[in-house]
Amino acid sequence: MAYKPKPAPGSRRFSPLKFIGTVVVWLVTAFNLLVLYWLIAAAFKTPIEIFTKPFALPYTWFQRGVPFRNFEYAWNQAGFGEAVVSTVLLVGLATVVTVAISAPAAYALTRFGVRGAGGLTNVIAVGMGVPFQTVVIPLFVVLSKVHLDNIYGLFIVYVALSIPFTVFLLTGFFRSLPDELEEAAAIDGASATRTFFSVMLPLARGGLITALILNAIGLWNETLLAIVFLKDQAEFTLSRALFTFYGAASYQSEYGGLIAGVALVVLPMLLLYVVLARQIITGLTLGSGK
Amino acid sequence: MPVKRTMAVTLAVGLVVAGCGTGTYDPETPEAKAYFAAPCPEPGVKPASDKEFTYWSMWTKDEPQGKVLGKAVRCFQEKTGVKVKVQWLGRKGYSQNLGPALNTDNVPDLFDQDVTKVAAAIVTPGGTQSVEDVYAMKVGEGDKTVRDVLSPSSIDFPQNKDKDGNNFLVPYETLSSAWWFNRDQTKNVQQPKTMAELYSLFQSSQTKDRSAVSQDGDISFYNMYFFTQLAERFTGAGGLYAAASDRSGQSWRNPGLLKAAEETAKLRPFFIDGWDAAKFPQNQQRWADGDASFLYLGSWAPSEVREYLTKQGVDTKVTFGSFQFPMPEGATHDIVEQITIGFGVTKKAKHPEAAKAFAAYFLNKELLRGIPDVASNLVPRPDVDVPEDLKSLKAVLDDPAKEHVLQYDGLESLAGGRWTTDVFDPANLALLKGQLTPQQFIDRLASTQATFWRNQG
Amino acid sequence: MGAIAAHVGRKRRLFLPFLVPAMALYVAFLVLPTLATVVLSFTKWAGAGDTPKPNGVGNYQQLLNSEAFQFSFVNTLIYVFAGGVGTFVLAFLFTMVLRDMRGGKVVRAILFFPNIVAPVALGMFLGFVFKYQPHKQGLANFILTELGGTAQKFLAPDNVTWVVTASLIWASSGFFITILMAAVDNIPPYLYEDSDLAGASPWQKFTNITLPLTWDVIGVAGVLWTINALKIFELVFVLAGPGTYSPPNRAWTLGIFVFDRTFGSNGTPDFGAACACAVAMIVLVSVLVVALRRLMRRDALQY
Repeated sequence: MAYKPKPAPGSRRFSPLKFIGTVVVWLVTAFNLLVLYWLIAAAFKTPIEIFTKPFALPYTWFQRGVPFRNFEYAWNQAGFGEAVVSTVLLVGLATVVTVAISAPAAYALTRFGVRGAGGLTNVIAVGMGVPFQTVVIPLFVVLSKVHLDNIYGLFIVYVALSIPFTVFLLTGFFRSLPDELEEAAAIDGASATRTFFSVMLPLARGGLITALILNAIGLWNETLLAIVFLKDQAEFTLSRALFTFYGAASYQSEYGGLIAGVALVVLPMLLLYVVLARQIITGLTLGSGK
Repeated sequence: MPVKRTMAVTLAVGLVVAGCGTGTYDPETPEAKAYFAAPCPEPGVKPASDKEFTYWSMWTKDEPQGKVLGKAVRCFQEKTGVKVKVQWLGRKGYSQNLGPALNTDNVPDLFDQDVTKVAAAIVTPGGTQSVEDVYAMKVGEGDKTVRDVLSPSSIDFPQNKDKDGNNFLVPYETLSSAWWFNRDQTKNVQQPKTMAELYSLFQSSQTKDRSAVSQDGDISFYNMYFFTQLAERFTGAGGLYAAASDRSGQSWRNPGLLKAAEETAKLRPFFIDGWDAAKFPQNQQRWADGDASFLYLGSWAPSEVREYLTKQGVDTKVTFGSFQFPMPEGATHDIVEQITIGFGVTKKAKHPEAAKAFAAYFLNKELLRGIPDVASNLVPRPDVDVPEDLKSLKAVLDDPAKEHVLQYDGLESLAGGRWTTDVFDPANLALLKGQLTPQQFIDRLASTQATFWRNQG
Repeated sequence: MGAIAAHVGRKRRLFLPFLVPAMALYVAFLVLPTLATVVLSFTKWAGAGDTPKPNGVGNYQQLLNSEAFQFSFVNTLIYVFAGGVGTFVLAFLFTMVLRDMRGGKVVRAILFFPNIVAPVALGMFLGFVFKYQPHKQGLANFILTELGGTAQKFLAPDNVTWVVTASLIWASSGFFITILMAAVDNIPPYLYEDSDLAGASPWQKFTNITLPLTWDVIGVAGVLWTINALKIFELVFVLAGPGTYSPPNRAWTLGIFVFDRTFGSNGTPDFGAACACAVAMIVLVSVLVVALRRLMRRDALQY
């Protein structure tokens, strides 16, 4: 924490609003931690423990010497093992390709001084407002005609539908970069492409990482398009597998495996988030700011 | 952030260890073990040319039926050399994947679902082909054909025919519905003869800690049982479907239907507290836990509940009994509901020969008995074991005096399924919650139905 | 400056190569399908192997008369407005406190957490939280009864809209707190110090400093909220129903309506009606976003 000036007497005055706010902040924070604890603990419990002792530590599976029974079930029986691989590959590639396509576009739209670029940026940003439901039917019909009603088709769709938000976010970044470095590179005789790759991209690194993470989180959790496009189980993504497993688990009372499945969906993103939280937060600031 | 770091470590360890196999506990019964250990029967028909086919299953791999079909697939591959590509898509595979796939050439050869759903979603748009030829195939027990081994009532009914009059489904599981109770908890239960007897049975079974009837009110078609069961006893097979198809809605002004609504409303006080805020399968589990004495549900109830009890670590020597709704006063049709789950073959199938051979093969007694032995459900073959829990229901189904009605009289397929969601479900829920009187319920059905059909054009 | 002029010229030549891939995908996968959906909304089309046939405004007439659509429409508006007001009130309340709270960064990170959880998973989890079962209540009723209240039937179709609204507020506020806090952090601290010296209350500081200086960010955040709330689907589908089948139509959203008429239908799908509903969604989002921008428009403040 940086140096903070002493608060003036005025702010010491009791304020009901601030009191309420503080209480609510702590309540919500505590609740979120509780949710996290519940999720992780429940992933190691039997159904009866989950429902009758929601806040106790897990014990039955540990006593029987199979602490990871639920994860094993989700991994092997509910197909999460395969899904982890497909999801990591699909989401990883889709986010990288999205950013690789969006970054030059955002750069061109903000820093080339081309007339009409502002309007064009707005046109692309409007795409953020198009609900997936609006495009899913024609996309499915056309892509299935060319046999892309599978994970490859889903990949293209993910990339294409992530572009508006990514371009929008990155234009914010490129706009905030100082002109001087670009000009210096130009005076040194660097080509425009080289300036972009060796000067501007490194400068916008924060924005690129934010775009990668936010897209990764969004696509990792995407269900609707995955339901529509994927029917080969070997290609199921985690959230698609979870959606199917949810139905089966309620018929079979397989709550332990179900929650382990939820944990497999949630925890990798949590890990990513914990490591990169600061990036996301700075990124959002610049992207949404100005 | 020490909390988070510990968490991350736990996660990493969890992911690593989850990958490798350690022992799991085993809920399989001796019958199930014997079934999976038994050798594969010889198929009656071997495909001549097809080397593979694709099957989109309504089960998931680890469900009992999924495991049984999994064995059949392994056996079929072993005995015929035909490769079976299975996708275990679960119950909604037919609408989430098969329906949309009909727009393309990329369809499975074989799929399964219940006859009403298949009729509405796949047959109506012309997505299936006739399976009459399967009925003539041998099942691998001497000269017996599929038609020989199936009970006639499982195939010969109008809703199992496409517009050319051909059957489109090869049944392998039979579903019915009943009032269920735990024989150890609720003793000396006889089939009630009158509605008054039913109510007094409910009345006497109530205690401070136990309600009479449990119900998962978030599933619309579970709420649908009560009224349709009673109404079908007034209208008989096809009568309810006809009333619902009436464009004017005036067919609801039938005194029998009003009576059925009145009897339905009388059930309400016996429902468990919270039935209308349920989250399936919460309330069937409350019934299993003994919070309620009775549950009206399909014939899959004992098997689902038993799996729940096993996973709860409860001793599962309990047995379940069942009885039917009695005849309401003035009713004239002594009905029992039945619906079959079966295999369909798509019109654009690339390997129909192999798919059909597999459908016939699964009806072989040695394979089909997995449905009762492992999955504890009924099959459309009369000569296969009946699970203990389902004996009373099976006796009713086999009773020649009973009139067989398709589940919900086939209402679920009306207007592509939209009649139930738009017209019936909201009114029915309001009736069960006491927000509509029986008369208002009938009035509302009559008026919303007229609007509904006008809208459908 | 000749080098720069030449550089700008060279740069402009790169404009198209840099922009075309993104634009091409944008047009092919968003613009054209949207137009196709508009066209298809005027056809009768089951979407199960049949071909679309012209049907005029039939689908739209059907929508207007359909109770399921009316519920979907109203519920969606409730999520957008009630959820939006709730989320932003909560977010503002938090910014007021978090600005000078010890450990604010950690708390912010924890508040953001629900945003990284798949909506399907959130729906399942909240199903457990809002369970109503005497003697074995879910977390919400457990706390309620411990505090001496009466247990509520949160998941009954009549209540579930409000339960989802509350859940949405909880789950989304972290995202908007992050955005708003970032804007608040950019406000020069001396403004707050001066007002402290003048004895301003937190409310005065909020209305005189925070609100005007973050107005533009609030506008952007409001648009993002509207867009996201309008397409809400998985969370409600899983929370209000059994998860496999559609929930009672009393609890539907426009997103669920589209899904139920297409890939989630119990019988024959109705792609024509689904397309009409999708068109309604995009019209609604346009109207709301334009209205919001109008409402938020004002001259940027300099500080």
